[in-house]
Amino acid sequence: MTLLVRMLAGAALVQILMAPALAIADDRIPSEKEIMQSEGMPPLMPHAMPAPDKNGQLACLSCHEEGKNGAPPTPHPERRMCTQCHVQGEVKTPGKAGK
Amino acid sequence: MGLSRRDFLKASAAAAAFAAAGAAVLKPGNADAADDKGIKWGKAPCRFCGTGCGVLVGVKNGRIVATKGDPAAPVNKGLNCIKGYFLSKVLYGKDRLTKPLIRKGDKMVEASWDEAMGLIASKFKEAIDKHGPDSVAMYGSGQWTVFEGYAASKLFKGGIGTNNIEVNARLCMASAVTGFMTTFASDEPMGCYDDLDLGDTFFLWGANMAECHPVLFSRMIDNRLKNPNVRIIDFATRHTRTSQMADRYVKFNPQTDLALLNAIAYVIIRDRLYDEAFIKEHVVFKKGKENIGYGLEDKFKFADEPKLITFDEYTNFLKPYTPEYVEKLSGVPAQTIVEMAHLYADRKRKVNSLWTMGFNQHSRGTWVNNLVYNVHLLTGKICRPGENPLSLTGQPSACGTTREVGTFTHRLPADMVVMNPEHRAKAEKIWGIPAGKIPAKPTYNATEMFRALDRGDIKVVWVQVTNPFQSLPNLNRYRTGARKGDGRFVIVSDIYPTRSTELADVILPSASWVEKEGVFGNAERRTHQWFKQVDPPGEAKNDLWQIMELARRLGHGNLFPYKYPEKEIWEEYRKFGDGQGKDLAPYEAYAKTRGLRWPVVNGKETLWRYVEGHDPYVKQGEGIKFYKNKPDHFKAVVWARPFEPAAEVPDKQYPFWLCTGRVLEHWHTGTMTGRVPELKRAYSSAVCEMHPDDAKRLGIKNLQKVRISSRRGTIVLPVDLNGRGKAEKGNIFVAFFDEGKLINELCIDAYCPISGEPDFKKCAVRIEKA
Repeated sequence: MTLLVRMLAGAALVQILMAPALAIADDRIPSEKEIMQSEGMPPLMPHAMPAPDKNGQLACLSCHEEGKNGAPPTPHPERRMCTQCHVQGEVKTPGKAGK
Repeated sequence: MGLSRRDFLKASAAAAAFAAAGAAVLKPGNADAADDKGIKWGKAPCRFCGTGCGVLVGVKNGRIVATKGDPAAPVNKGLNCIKGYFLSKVLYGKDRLTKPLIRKGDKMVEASWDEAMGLIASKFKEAIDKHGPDSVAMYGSGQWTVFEGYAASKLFKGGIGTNNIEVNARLCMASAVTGFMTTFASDEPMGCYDDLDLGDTFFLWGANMAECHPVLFSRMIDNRLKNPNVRIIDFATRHTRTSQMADRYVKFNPQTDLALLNAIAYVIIRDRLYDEAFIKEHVVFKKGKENIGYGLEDKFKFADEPKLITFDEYTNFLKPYTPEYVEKLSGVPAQTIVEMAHLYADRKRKVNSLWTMGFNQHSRGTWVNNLVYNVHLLTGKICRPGENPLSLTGQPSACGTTREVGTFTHRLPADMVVMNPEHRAKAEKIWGIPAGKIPAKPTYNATEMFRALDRGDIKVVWVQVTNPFQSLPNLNRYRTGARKGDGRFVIVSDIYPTRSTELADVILPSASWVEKEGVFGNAERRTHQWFKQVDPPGEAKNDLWQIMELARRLGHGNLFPYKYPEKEIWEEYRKFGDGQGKDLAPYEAYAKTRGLRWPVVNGKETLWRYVEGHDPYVKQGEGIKFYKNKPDHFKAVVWARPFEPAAEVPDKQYPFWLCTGRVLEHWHTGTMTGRVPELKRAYSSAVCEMHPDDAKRLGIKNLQKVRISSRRGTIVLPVDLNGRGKAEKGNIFVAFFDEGKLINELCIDAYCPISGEPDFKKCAVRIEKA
């Protein structure tokens, strides 16, 4: 019983933390809370878009997975295709990509 | 808490499953109230691709100020792709068209709507009087709302009395349609996006889903995250972001998809991996004509001659398609072919196939669609949750509008055809028009329509919501044809100046997306409705109004006696599909929901068609029933279709394959996305993807300019040897979004003789230093 409660609590905690990404699919007009929680524009890159390596792989997560070199850590590490949502905005910081 | 990132990842996967089980319900709110920033939110499907993501649109002071992924949308559950995240900007480019424009010599001069519509009507009347109703035409779009497509079809077929209505979906989904019709006698998938969550094996065929259906690809990747058993196999002619994320990249020579699918079927039969019981109960075998041509001659005509064959005859037909032979043809090792066949047939796996333009924009597009269904039919992996072939649609409403309403030369709503007198009679009855009004003969497919304009057989063409003078293959011919004069008159309705408006005699400023009320239908049969949320700019008017206004001026206003046109059109239109397995719900149902998948019967949507327990048309005890295919006793058809070469293959003079397509950031011809600075910056202009070995051999360095030439056109582009997409040797790839680089001038206007869909993926070019 205790194990079950712990498991449910753990899952619920994670669910609350991840609410925007995992909102319940339901056919009705969203509440104000849902509107506020839902994801708007993904943050634009304030640094130049890094070139892919020779395998075509982008190096975003080398800084953004854990938050190295002053890069903000990603709130959604399970999403690995960064440029599907993130593009470059105005360049404000050099970023490691500027190397 | 001390949760490491990796633990977080694992926990999130667990939580995802938890959430899907339907825990905690939030209190429903009132979407009409503005939020604390004074923004009013409403729902709409995304303006872009056939995925049909749900979006929340935020309006303040009559302007779209923000959009978000809609968390309540089952399609995307709050996620958008980068194009969707910029929806709030796409309608606000500086050069939005706001006034009708009439050509006077070289200039486009502002005019009133009355003047413009008056002129258009007079041109229609003049052409119809002088040359007959088949001298006028409408070219519409898979980005038309259902109302717009319905009104256009009703006016042209039921009012003017011509079958000269075609759409750009002829260029993207026609082969998928004829694939469905010849295999199942009914258009559109039997499965739905839930198969992406429930399946464990995904074969992608010539489909760069990571860039072209990104949210669906994310759904697949999310599945793999939760279930390490999931396998994604990328069968492709070039290495893309999709290939990077897939478990396996299987490269093949262009056009050999035909041979590969036959080889897979060969192995499945040879190794006795087929589902004998399923085949006996649900499959018939047929053979059609071979050496069927390429549609390169004007007025090309083709009619197939299907013949029933036996399973043994089919097996015999497959004899040449040994893995060893197909290895030589395709470049895929025989061992891999056998492995893939076994993976397809693995009884422990829930297998799905997904494809878009690699299969459809193909001179044997119908055949290759048939062939992928063959594999699912031979193994019985179809019509089961998590296990289906899924034809992905490109445009937001190629399904909902062009295919379901039927805005093609040969079509009427609900899969009906003009060639069938009973179908015409039904349409005439619902439309309240005299018997015999709808012509019985189809006229032209899209390519033939623009050939007819070039020849002068068509004088007046009205283009809405699409950009043919950038997107047609063998583009030079059709661009020139449009401006030959001699009574030709081109009208273009659009929201921005494009490579098509520049050739127009009249330009009509149009409303877009949430500037009008609309309905779209996406790739999983989900019909989405939205209300108008902002006014269009200046004097722009929605295309539905434009069509009804022309109708009125041509004396066909009686066809549109509506007070609330959108809703009344919907209720009239849905009569066609009622009881036909194409049932649509009453209009209000769509206003309330995030879309419903048809057939909707008694308010309940259908996730899986043709199968008992999910499809209301299949009775208890019937199991699986392809109920639209009465002539074949409700069975599906496995077609014996051979490999035949592409219309134009590389040779000494033109030694490279040219493939064209899309990239993530840009939609089609880039008229909307090209006007968003961030999207333009992300991919600013077209480049030529080339293999480094080929570049080295030609003495070309990365980013250097090359001249690419085909028998039809020539272009100068910088090469890209290290981009997101990597061409294979002997191949190049160029995206078609760049209005300054009309790559389609090089493409060949060969088409599938059955579907009429051109092959944008294969033609022969030569490359030299520029």
